[in-house]
Amino acid sequence: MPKSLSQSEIDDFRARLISVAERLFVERGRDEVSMRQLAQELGVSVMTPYRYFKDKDDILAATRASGFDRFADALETAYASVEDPVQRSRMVGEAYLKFAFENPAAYRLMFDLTQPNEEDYPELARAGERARKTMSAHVECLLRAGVLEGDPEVIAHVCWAAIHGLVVLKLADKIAPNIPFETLWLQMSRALNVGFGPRSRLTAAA
Amino acid sequence: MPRSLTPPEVEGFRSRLIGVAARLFAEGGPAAVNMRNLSEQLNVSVMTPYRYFRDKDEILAAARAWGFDALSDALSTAFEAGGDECVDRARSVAYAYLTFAFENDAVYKLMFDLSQPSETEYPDLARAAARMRVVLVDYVRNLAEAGLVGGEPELAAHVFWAAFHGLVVLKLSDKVSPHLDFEEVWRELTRALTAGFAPAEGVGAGDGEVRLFAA
Repeated sequence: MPKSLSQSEIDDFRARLISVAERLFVERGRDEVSMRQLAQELGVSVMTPYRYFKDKDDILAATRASGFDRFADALETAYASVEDPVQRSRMVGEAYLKFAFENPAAYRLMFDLTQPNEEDYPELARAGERARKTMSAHVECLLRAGVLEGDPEVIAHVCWAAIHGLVVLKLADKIAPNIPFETLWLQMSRALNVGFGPRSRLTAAA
Repeated sequence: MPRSLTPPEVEGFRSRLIGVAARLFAEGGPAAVNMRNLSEQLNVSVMTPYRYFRDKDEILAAARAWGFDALSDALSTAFEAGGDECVDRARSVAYAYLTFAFENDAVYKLMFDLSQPSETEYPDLARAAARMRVVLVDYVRNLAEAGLVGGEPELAAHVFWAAFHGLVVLKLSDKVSPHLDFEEVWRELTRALTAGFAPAEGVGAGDGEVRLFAA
């Protein structure tokens, strides 16, 4: 009979399991990861992971939720670090890039993978929703300040698509080698600023 | 001893193998692409794929190169077929890009997979990927010469490409909010970047007339 575990032992084991799972899911793909392999990598008995999680999809959901929470932490910290909406937006953008390039495995599981029955995992839904909110908060702030104009959800999605595209092209090593990433990022931000700025709206309407 | 194959037979088998590899990859991830699954799906012996490719990474690199060449062909064809007006050609090319990605989603995902080995080991893949960038840059240069896009064409092409690609892959992995109309997000992305790259003041003021890539 296994002894009962303290909360900190449980948390430690969950964290270790999540970090191993993050790597395995990315390396092998969801279908090719088994509970047995996870146990092996952790050096525990085959049954141990079942004391914490129902099955591998449960582990995948917890792994992705942990990614979304860490991502949201980083973006919220950046958001709170300055008052000026424009500065704030820049800080959030830079925090986004930093997280993606420092945590490419977590980033992939969060945004590049389709998990079946995602809605069965309330903790994942909560963390995913929180991440989405932190991504659009700075856009709403710019809209309130009159720096941007338009539908907040559409603008937030366009900005997300643009920055995500830049990140994944970079991670896939598909950007022309002579182009500095920073320059691309700068031009993209400027273009989006102009494109969603009130002045462009006025000329478009004229 | 196997008889030697004619060049069309070799080509035919290679392209079947590439198609199966891309599908296995899209359905089961990188580990699903192994010689056993490949030979089963192709109904050949486990050793047969080795007559054409050294290992699975070489098969995946060939599949990616095939994808980049097919995408380049589709974009070039759309450009030629787009008519005399720059804006119409732009629309035609953008539409061809989206069509290729959504109709060949397995290959598209494979082409842009984030954990692929360095292209330097696969010169044909490096060539095909570079060719596609040249097609995109040439076509933005064409818009720049017509006074529709300002700034440096290679940078502008990369920014448009990254944003398009980002929206495509978010859609392919089911991440675009269900409350939003994909077409509308696409139109707004296009409109905003076009305004952002309007030539009046560098990456400067917007010009309502220009609708680069508008779908």
